[in-house]
Amino acid sequence: MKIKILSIALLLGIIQLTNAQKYISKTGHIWFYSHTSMEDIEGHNHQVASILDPVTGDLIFSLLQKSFEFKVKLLEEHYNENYMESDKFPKATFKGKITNLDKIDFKKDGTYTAEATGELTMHGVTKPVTNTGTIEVKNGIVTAKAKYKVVPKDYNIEIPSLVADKIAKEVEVTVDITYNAN
Amino acid sequence: MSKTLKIVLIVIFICLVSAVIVLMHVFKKADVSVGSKKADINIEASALLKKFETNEDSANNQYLNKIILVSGTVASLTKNDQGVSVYLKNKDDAAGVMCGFDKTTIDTTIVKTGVQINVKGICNGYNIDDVELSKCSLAK
Repeated sequence: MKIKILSIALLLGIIQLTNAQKYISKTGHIWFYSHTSMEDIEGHNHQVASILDPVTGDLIFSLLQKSFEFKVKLLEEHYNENYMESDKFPKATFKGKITNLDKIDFKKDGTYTAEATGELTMHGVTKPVTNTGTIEVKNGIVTAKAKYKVVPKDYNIEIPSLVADKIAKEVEVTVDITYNAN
Repeated sequence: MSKTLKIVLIVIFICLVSAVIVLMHVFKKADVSVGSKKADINIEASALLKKFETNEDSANNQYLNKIILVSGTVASLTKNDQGVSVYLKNKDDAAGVMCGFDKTTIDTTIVKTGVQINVKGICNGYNIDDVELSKCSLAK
């Protein structure tokens, strides 16, 4: 009898585990902002794919460089052709984990500080990244937000000296992802 | 009018014209859609997805930066500050085609969940498990 109950409990436990939902978004928003006294430049990408596993803490952001939108055509061309070389390196990805999962209750409304660590790959260069952001839970809807400073030079992105004054040494990247439970 | 004055005036005129041309080029607005351009390829959303699922590299070679006219069923619409992302997905497929529209190029009275539409856009590649198009417009 005991064994029966135990095995049923175990079975239920396994079902529970496999049912554990992942949070998924295909329409996340990532944008960057470069500020200098000469010029402010921003690009927005509204088609960021992201997967957040609340059980393991696994976190993925993935975007296509060409899906960044600019106000001015010339900037869009320069971004894709000269800086990011988007035909050669079409994607940028972050793969990592939330390291303070014990501090985040996905079942309870609130705004939680989240620490993430992992690897950021863009322009064919992969670098370790550790950053702090927030996880907001509101009526069961989970939103992840973070800001991160990217130094173009770290990712072998060469800025010609002619325009060096117009592009910030550190470009501010903002992440804003609203997830669907899946 | 002296000859020198004439030359100076002509030079000034040429400078002004070239300045205007350069400025127009520098500040030219980015295209919000490829609506006025002819599609390079016509394909169903499901078939396009399969090409990328089977071999991403060869699909990139074939479709990247091309203007594609894709037909499919609207599975979801997500609005943002600048426009709407329309997700075309066949019921039986695991993923689909994500189409980025500027808010000036979409009519949300026509584009609704469950409706079959034709979308013209530039193919940006394969993101995790979806194909992405941007600068989209509705096509007949």
